Parts: sequence; C-alpha cells; structure tokens
Amino acid sequence: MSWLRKYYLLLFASSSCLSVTAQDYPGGVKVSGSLQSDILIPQNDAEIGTEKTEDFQTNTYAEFMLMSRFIDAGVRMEYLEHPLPGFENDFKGWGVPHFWVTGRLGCAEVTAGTFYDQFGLGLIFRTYEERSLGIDNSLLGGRVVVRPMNGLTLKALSGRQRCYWIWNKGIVSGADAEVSLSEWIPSLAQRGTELAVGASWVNKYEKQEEIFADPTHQYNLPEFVNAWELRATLNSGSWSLHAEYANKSQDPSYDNGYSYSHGSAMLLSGSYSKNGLSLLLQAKRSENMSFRSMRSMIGTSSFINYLPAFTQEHTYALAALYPYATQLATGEWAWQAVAGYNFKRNTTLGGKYGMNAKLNFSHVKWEGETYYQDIDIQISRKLSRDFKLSLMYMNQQYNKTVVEGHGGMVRSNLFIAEGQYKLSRKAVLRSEVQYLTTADDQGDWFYALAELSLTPHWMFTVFDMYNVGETHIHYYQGGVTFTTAGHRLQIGYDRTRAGYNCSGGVCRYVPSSRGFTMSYNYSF
Amino acid sequence: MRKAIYLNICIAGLLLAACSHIDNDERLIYVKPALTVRSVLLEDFTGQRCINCPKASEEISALQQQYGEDAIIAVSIHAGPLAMHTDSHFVGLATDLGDAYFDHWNLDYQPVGLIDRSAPMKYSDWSAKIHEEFQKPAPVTISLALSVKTASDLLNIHVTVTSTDGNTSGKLQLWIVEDYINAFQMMPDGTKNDDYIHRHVFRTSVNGTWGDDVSINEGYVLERDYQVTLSGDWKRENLSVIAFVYDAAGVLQVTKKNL
Repeated sequence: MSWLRKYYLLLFASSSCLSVTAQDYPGGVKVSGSLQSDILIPQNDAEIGTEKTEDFQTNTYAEFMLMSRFIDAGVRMEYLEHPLPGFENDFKGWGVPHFWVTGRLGCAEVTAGTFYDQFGLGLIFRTYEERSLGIDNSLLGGRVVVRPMNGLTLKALSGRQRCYWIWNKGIVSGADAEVSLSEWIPSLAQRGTELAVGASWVNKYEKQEEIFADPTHQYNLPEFVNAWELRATLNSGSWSLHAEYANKSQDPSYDNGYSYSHGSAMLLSGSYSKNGLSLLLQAKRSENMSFRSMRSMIGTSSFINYLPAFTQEHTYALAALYPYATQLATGEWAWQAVAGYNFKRNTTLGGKYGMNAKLNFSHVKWEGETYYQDIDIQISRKLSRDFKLSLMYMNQQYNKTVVEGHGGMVRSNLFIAEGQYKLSRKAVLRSEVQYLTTADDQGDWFYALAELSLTPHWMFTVFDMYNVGETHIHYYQGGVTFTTAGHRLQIGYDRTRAGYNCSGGVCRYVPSSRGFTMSYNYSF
Repeated sequence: MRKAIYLNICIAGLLLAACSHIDNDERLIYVKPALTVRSVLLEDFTGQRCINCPKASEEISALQQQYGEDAIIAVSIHAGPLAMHTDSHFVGLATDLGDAYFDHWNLDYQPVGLIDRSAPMKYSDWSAKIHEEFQKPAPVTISLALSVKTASDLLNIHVTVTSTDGNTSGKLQLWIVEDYINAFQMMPDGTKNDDYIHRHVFRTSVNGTWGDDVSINEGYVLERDYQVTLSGDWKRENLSVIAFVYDAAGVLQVTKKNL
C-alpha cells in the first residue's frame, strides 16, 4: 500500500465523524479577494533629517481566494520591492509568498501550502500576519484538523516558517487538542456553563551550527526543542476565567544569550460583566520564552510563539507614543486590572443621556525593575443630543531602555479631551486635544486633530503633533478619504517622526519621513 | 493495516517529540584554534549611543586575545544613526566616510560587522566566520613603512604588495585608525559612561572611499607611496595605518602598522 493511501486512511477514514465543517455554496464556487496599496512619494526634509532615496515607495498586497463546499484555495501577491520606511532590510522583495489549498471531507480538514494558526493564546505557537509591523510568520507545510465528535478538535501541523522572502531551514511541528467539556457533560450545558480544556505541543528541529562561545569553544546546540502548553477556559453567566501554562525545553539562542535554561509562561485572566459593570483582572509571568524557528535570528521575524502584552492598547496618538512590547527573552511579571461602568440615563451621574467610565491599571516588572506602568481613567458622556465629550487622564511609566534600548525611564502625565459634534444628519465633526507632560526623553508634546465625516463617502482629517519640550518640530498630516462600495481611497500629506526600535540585543533605526501618501483598499 | 498506521503515527510522534537535553558539562565543544596563515579584517560598525555595541568590543578583545592583534585587524567604524558626530557638547567619533560605508553596506542594525567584507553579521557570529577565514590562503602579502617628519603633520606611507599565488586584481585601501580614545559611550545596562576607552577607531582614509586599483602578476611586487596630513586632534602615539587588498569576493590580505 502506498504512503499516499496510508495518509488518506489516516486523515479521512474516521467513521466516528459527527460534524461537517464545510460551508455550503449553492452557487458552486465563491470568489473573493482584496487589494491593499500604501504609497509614499517621499521628500527631503533637513529639519527632521530625512533624505529622499527613492521616488516612490509602496507596500502592496493583492489576495485572491476561491471557496467551495469541499475545497478552498488562495494566493497572495506582495510587492515590497520599494517598501515604506521603517522595515527591516530583508522585508524588501516581491513575489507570491502565500498560497494554500484546503480540502474538507467529513470531520477532517487538510491544508497544504502556507497557513496561519494558533494554539490557545499563542504562548507556544502562533503564526499570523501584521502588515503594519512587517510580520508574517506563516508556515509552509501541511495541517490537519479533525473534529471526530462534538466538542473535540484535534490539530496537527508541520512546516517551515516564512522569514521575509525565504523559508527558514528549521522545521516546526505541533499538535493541539481542545475539548469542550460542556458538550459532553449535560449538567454543565443546562446551567449555561462552558468549560473547555486544551493541550498542545510544539517541536522545533534545527541543525547544529557553528556558534562560538569563545574563540576555542562552540556551543553544543540542541537540535530538537520542545514546548508544551495546558489551558482551561470557564464561562459561566457573567463570569469568565482563562488559565494557561507553557514550558519550553533548552533553547539556546541569540535572544537569550545562548542560555540552556528552560522557558516558562503562565497567565490567568478573569472577567465579570453584568448590569453595566465590567471587570477584567489579568496576571502573567514569563521567563526565557523567546521561541524562534532560527536560533540566531535577530529583529522581528521567525517567532514561533506570541505572548500578549497585558497592557492597554491605546488609540489616542500621545497615549500610544510610548507603547510597551512584551519582553520575551528575559522575562516579566505583568498585571492588569480594568473596570468599566455604564451610568444609566436619567440618574445623578448618568445625566440625561448616560455616561461611561473606565479605569485601567497595568504594571509590568522583572527582578525589581519596573518595565511599564499605566494608570488611566476615561469618561465619555453625551452632553446634548448632538454633542459627546470624552476625557482621559493617564499617568505612565515607560522604561525606554528596556523596550527600545536607550533613554531611561520616561514618566509622563497625559490629558486628552475629545469632542464629537453632530452638525447635521450626515455630518459629524470630531476633534481631539492632547497634552503630554514629562521631564524625560523629549519633554512635552501637544497634539490636535480635527476630523469631518460626511457620510456615506467622505472624511477629511488634519492633525498636528508638536514637540514642545525639546525639538519644537511639528509632525502633521492632512488627508481626505473616500469610501464607496468595496473601495477606500485615502490621499494625504504627512510628516512622521523617527524612532529607535531595539529588541533582542540589537537596535534598529526607524527613519522619519515626509511626503505625499496614498492608501487604496478594495475588497470583493 | 490498522496496526501499521498506528505504528507509523507512533514513530512519527517519537521522532517529532525528540528532545535534545544537553547537560552542563556537554554544552561547549572544544575547537582547535585556527592556524593563522593570514590576517583577517574585522569592520565593526558601532555607535556611541548603541547600548549593545560595547558587547561587540568585548568580543573583539576576546578574539584578539586568542589570535593576536596582528591576525585580527579590527576597525571600529562609528557610523549610522546611533553614532555621534563631534559637536559643541560631545566628542563624537563618527565620520562622514564611516556613514558612507554604513549606507553602502545597507546596514540596518548595530552592532554589526563585516569579516573580510563578507555579508554583514552580528557579533555572536564573528568567531565562526573568522575561524573560516583563517583557513583561506592569502594570495598577496602587504608590508608598510611609515615615517613622520618631526614637527610636521605629514605622514609618509610606503606600501609593498607582493603577489604570491596567481595574478591579483583588486583595490588597495589605506586607513588611519586611532586607539585608546577616551569618550562617551552608552552601556548595555542603559547607563552613560563618559570615560569609555574606544579601541581602533576609524579616523580617515588615505586614498579615497574605495582605494586604488591594483593589478599584480604572480611573483611581482607593487610599490606605492602615499602622504596624509594627520589631524592635531589625533594622538600620534596611538595611531596606526591599516592596508588591505580586496576584490569583489572580499579581502585578500590585510596588515597594520603603528606609527
């Protein structure tokens, strides 16, 4: 019997299959796709130290998918030959790095080609694409997903990981099992309780290579690195609880200074939501959990795993000026508590239209050193039928040395006011004023934004970010956005600031830029 | 049939789940030092604001301790966005020429080094690459004769290049480096060190950005004379001249001579 037939039996011939995952497409084949193109026409700007090196820079992606009842397939073309500023050198290139076909039969689903997946929250395995950061760590290989009975999902996968325009030589393999116990225990389902447990394992194979500890000794490197993870999720009424633990075997790498210690990560997250009150409490401890498919890799590529930051992701510009990034290689303790409350209409605090308040506290430290702390409070209240006001205060400590590699601790206070005024049935004017005050880094910053939306098609935006404390430089943007059907076109002119990005023992400079910008998105 | 499938699954699982545990006493493999039949040029692109760059300097010291400073000829080129040019507040070690080299090699992180002008690599990879470079034969030998007229800033350099193995075509480059410069440096723990001792710092080129064309037949000798004016800011007792011949494949030979 041929190997093909053996695998066929293994993958498809389970008589206990109970669920069908394929979607029904009565019309036969469904075609979909998208195009995303971000363009910069750069200009020289001596004040911010940017020099035009190319006439035209673009990150362009075109994706095309076919979906049917039994088979899905897709390709993505990327044109990054003249990339936007701020990406690693190896990011440059063009080609078709993403191509896949998925077949479904009965309870089984088989994928060949490049694919993304994640076990649990990703502590030991997560492949994903984040275009704004230049991350695409998909696997090229195969994956099998089997759901042999209700409440049970089994996955197995193996492949080589994408590293920009090559696939790393190391082989990443893994398996995951997740059981929804509430499907099996009727009393849980009757009480509206969902309980799921899961376990996963990942193995990385990488050949021995010549890496010297000193001029006369080279490291004896493990060719196989194993990681495993256990998790449980409980949802009951207003309560939700998630716990996860992961461990990694010896994995000497550039990130950890070729340490032979085991890595570990543990997180616990609980939430409560009822009658307008919401609470979230989270804690995480991780140590030596940088896990890459290439042990000598630096920069942002080739990570097999992902650890969530457990800090608030801010959308206001100055609140996001000092964003925290999880320190995978060393380790960290992270705690987060978020409380929100919706004050009802026609109450003392809620007023005529109601009010929303949210308090967040995040703290990250390791071996007595604070890496990051953020205490912020946000209040949002509709003052009249046409006007809504949001206020925010944030106190932040950002260890710039730990995250970026230089700069010491930046302690800041931030004040934000946002107003949203409904001018007419189709016109809304939104404006923001932000002020960040600090004695550290580049001192105080001021930011103002005005955005006019004329539904359903137009939006006009202008903003200015001004460094009050040191450089007295304006960073600005003006743009217009037109949206219709599946098309979105944004044209603007902007000036963005430079920064350093230091991680894993090396520092990379993200240059400033100025010029005309265009962004076009189309999906069908 | 079913047994065969299960057996295959078990074997595949065991292979994939294999774990390589390495005990304390097995973590390092002794490697016999390479025979140093030639010298290797190590261009370390560094910066005074680069907190990881002192680690690369430590690596250079360790390598030179093992192989000798004549075998590993290091040049610290302060360049790129993390380097500092001299201004009214700081003694900066960056040069415009260093920045030109940084841009030419399209470097995007620091510290980063070129070993005999091969691909840019991080300092943890230098040792293996140097070990490899030492195995290569050197098709030329280079010798330097230096003289400085007393009470003059003019340095005379006489270079002799002998082709010992085949005909050689490439470029001859001469640089001035200064050792033991006391200046500011950001350290790996994030602190500032105002009294850091910078080693083998690139100061200038004697013969342009990319040197002069040379072509020597086997057994022949090429001689060239150069002059360069020494800056009054440089300590003469710490200056050296570095000469190397390179082609598209890399550096063929390098030598160094103190003033």
